[in-house]
Amino acid sequence: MTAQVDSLIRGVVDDLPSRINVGVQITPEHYALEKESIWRRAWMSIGHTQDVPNKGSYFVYDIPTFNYSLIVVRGQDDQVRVFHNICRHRGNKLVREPVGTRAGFTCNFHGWSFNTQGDLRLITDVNEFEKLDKKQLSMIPVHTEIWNSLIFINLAKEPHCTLKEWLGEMYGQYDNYFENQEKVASFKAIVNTNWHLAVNAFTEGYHTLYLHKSTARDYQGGKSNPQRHRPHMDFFDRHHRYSAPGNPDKVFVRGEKLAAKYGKLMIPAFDFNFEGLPPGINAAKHDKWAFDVVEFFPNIVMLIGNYWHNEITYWPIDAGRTLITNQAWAYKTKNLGERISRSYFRSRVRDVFREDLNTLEAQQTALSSGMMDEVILSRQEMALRHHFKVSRQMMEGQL
Amino acid sequence: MKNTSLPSEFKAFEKWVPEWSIPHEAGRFNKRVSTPVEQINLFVEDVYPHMEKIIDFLNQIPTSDPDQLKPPERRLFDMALMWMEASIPADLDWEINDIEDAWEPKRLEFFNPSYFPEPTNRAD
Repeated sequence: MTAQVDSLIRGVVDDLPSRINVGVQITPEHYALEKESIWRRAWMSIGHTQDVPNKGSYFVYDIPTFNYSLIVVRGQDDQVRVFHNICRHRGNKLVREPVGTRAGFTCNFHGWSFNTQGDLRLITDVNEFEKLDKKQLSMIPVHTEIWNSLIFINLAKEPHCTLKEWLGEMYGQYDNYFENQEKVASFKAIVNTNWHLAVNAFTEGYHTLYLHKSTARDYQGGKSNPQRHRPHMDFFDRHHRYSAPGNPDKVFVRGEKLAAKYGKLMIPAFDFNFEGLPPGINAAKHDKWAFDVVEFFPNIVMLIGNYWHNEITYWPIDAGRTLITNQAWAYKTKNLGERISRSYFRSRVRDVFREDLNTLEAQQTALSSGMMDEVILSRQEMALRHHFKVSRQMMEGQL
Repeated sequence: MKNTSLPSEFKAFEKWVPEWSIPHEAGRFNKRVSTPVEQINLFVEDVYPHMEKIIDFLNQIPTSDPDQLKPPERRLFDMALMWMEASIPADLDWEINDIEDAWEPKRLEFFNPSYFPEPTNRAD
């Protein structure tokens, strides 16, 4: 008899259909509705407070979905704020350097100047203007809340809920995790695919046995769980997460052995250690735990391990194109051996990620051709079923 | 001519420096996917027996910041990182330098690991 592991599923899943008409959901007409009902209303992460470490540190963040350019800046009062990257005079782009540290922002068009808190400080040749109130002409703010060092924004005029409400049960479950890591890799791709397909590619483990057979052949499952069933899945109102099963019988190749000797194990090799992690990580305390996958609906999928995490960010450009960014974070190193070790796992994950990306354009082409009405989802793909339920509920205004 | 010197105990590996000591992740990845696997493996197999000695040497330098290294040490560090990247095809039994069904390297855009230009985050 083949070994079998039943997934422990928590949360409401009885109402999740196993067949989804994805073709309809990737049409331009559907996407036009989603833009306002989902992307305009959701709380979405755009970076970490570590990205703006000092007073005056800033970065520019573009959101192609709405043609927005934003500035994320740590003010002289140490508060992190997000503004539209627009000069209030004639609408010129206020900052063009993508990153830096500044005492304020001066528009290169007519020299209007703002401080890092967004206040308008200087109007050049001010007497030539009629009745201007500087207080009414601050940089245009974006609703912003910080959660465990992640900077979340909301693009609605007034958010329909707080970030705490948005994150629900997960809100208090990740304390002191993200703050202890540093960014080690960033890359992006513009993929000719709808955002749903792009998110779905990273939220099930069923594919790993097949798609990643050349890049990560024995990292999950093993003899006791050959089909790599997820030991545990959690479904919340908007978000979900599951744990991936490590393989205790994994055979280490030369690079992995070296990396293990000089640093901590990271994906695709695991030491199953989850001591000291906050309660949201490996929430069911699976003893052969490898990592978690968490979908922060709609724009982030995270892979969360003990010494590392990956953040995959999605921004729709239109119904058939998505900007996908992957940023890898890892433990802070004490010596060069750890840096060499860390770099090895970074290289391995990059190849795995490239395999995931490579299915997306083919699916987009096929599913928009009208040749197939529905996709069929297994229990191991429950997260995809949940994703489409959340999408529908947001479009209906229920969430 | 480009300086290829390594710390004296690793002089035998200076022949690899011009092509295989590359200071950034994107450069090392592109080197791997643009070099025939036979050539990659010449480098990988020659250096492999000495990798522990190389890392032990680098570990004795009291920093984890590659930008603090002297140029010969930095070339050695970059070569060690290149080995980590280049070992993948041989270790995973690929017959070529890259997986066949994967996103094209040229459509993957690397950018600064961190939004702010911290040298330590750029270096490796």
